[in-house]
Amino acid sequence: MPIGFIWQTFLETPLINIMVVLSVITFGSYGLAILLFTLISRAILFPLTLRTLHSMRRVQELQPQLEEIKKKYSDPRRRSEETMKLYRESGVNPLGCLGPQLIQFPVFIALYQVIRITLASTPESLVELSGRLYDVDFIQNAIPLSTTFLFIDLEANGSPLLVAIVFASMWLQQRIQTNRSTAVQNPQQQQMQQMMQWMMPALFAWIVITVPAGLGLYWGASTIIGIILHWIFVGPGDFTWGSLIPNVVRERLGMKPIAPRPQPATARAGANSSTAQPGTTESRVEDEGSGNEREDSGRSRRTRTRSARSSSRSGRRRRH
Amino acid sequence: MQARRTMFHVKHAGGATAHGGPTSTFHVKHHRRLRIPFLAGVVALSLLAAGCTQLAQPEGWAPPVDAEAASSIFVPVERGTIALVEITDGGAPSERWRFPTEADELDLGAIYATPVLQGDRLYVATHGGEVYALNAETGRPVEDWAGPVDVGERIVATPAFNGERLYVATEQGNLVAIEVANGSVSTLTEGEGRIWSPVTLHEDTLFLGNLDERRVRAVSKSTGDIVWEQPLAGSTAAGFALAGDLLIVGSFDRALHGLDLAAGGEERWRLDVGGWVMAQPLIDGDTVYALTTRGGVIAASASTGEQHWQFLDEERQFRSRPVLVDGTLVAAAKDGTVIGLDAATGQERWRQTLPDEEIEADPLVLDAGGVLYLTNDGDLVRIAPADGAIQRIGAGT
Repeated sequence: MPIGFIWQTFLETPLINIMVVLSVITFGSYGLAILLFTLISRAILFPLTLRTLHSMRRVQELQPQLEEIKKKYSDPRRRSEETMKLYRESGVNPLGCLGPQLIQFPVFIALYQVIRITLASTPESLVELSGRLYDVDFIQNAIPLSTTFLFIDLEANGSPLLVAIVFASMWLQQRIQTNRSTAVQNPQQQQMQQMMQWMMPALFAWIVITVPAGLGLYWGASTIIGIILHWIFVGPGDFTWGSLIPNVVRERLGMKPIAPRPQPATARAGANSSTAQPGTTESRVEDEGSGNEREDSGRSRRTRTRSARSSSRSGRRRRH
Repeated sequence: MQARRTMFHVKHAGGATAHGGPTSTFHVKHHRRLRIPFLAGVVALSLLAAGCTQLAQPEGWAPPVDAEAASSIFVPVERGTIALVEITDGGAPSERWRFPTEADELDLGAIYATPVLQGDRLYVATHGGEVYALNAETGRPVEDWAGPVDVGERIVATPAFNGERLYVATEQGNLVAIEVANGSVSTLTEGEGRIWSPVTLHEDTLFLGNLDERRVRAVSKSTGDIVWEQPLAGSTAAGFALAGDLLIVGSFDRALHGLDLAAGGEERWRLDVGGWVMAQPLIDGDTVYALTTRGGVIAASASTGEQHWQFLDEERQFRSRPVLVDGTLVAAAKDGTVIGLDAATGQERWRQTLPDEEIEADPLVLDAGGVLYLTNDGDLVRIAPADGAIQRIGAGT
């Protein structure tokens, strides 16, 4: 059986009809139908999401042992091996947070076609839609669907509002996830995460520019739900809303400035310098790279240990 | 893998570097290794998004138009290009002109509206919202117009023509009139919702079908005033058919509607047809033939809506309108299946399949005999209505 047939029959066509039904339920608003679909899909993925969040929580609880490893081994390779060994023994996957996102991706791709077909932005897609709808009166009669939602044309590409929402929400999601799940890591992992912190939001913002706005609405809503779940079950980590205020503004407001985050050796040497965001994040030192970084890591290590302890109790403590 | 590890050790043991000791070399190498799959993922996603975007491009389904000259037709030979093609029996079609040429450096984009031929002029309305007036003999834009008329909104509906004005309906629900003498534009009505049904002109009235607003509206062609308006349970995107004082409308409520023109568009009859009607119904005497996107072919009385017969092949989607030649009703499905039915009984006479071809454009009955179809790939195929014999006559290019 060709993959295209399976894809269409078991994923795309049911999704098309589900979206039409949801649109009918939501009084003909396709935007609300997308939001409702997002809620339903996140609810279906909730067991997996919860497992992932528990895994993140476990990483957080391993902080003292990770600190010990850091103190004990100066060789980064050995330290990395021991860290991974600890993760393995504790049944923790530090990259587990990617699971729900990866599972969502086929849905994301299918939804692209679904939105394109159900909104019938071109005459050809209307003909295609006619062949995909189930032979049910209220589904057949629901077409065409409303294409606007909150002044956003859901079939048009590149809604600036949605691009901004997707970028900001993905940045925040990356920010609160990477903080806890990989508190102790070697510099290349840290650099990778810093790169992901900006690359992932930028990538998805770019995708949202190139696809119908309905898809951006789905991704933005899904990401925001992910943030809320993370906040509830794991906590925001060392992220604070105050940390978004740059030092320049903080000084003017009479607030205490935030120490810039030290960069690993390779980053300081110039590699990937775009990932450094001095003044926009709190001090969060993960400095296993070289000996000279240890000198400035004391404060943050103390901070992190304190944070980990308190977080392991409450799971959602904030620091300002 | 082993070789890589060895390299790591060698580098690691290689001593200090300017970047801060032996670990830096390790980091850089390892970091590069991590970055490759990430960048590969970014590239893959970009290609995927770009590919998906490409899929959404409108292609157009404007049909071939009889040039009213010996065996010649105007045909959209490819997306954004229209040509005058001469069809000869047995031989390859010869192209007399095409517009735009490479020198024009133009891209007309998708064309859905059937080009309108009036006298020596061919009017072409593009999906991008421009209307061109071409000299039918030369294929060059006429000099009376300063250039193409840009109505500023997308056009799917075929315009109507009354000798002086071209009436163009847009995707924003507006109706504009273009004076063909000089190309000046005036807005007749402003509305909402997409108009995809061809504009139908009858005496002094224009009939407009609205996809989003689910209604048929009759508008005065001179003033733009609304004469009457008839709401429908479903949308309408197909062309209308006129049968005496009835306007026959196919709708997405899976029904045909007979609207009484003398009674302000009041519905005189309704006939369930079991699928969306996206093809313009055909009138022959008191019989109306309609096709559906769920494989239905229906014959009914145009005056009463009483069904005569129904043919059903649920695997087929009909978008292209039917034609009637010598008692055979010819219907082409989107998947390239062409079916000949006995117009009196609905019995299948023959069936042909054009492999790897799709048909969405309306057909053209040729004076020389045969029914001409333009496939979505731009191929021209002539079907003999008597027995369904296929003659591929090339791509027109």
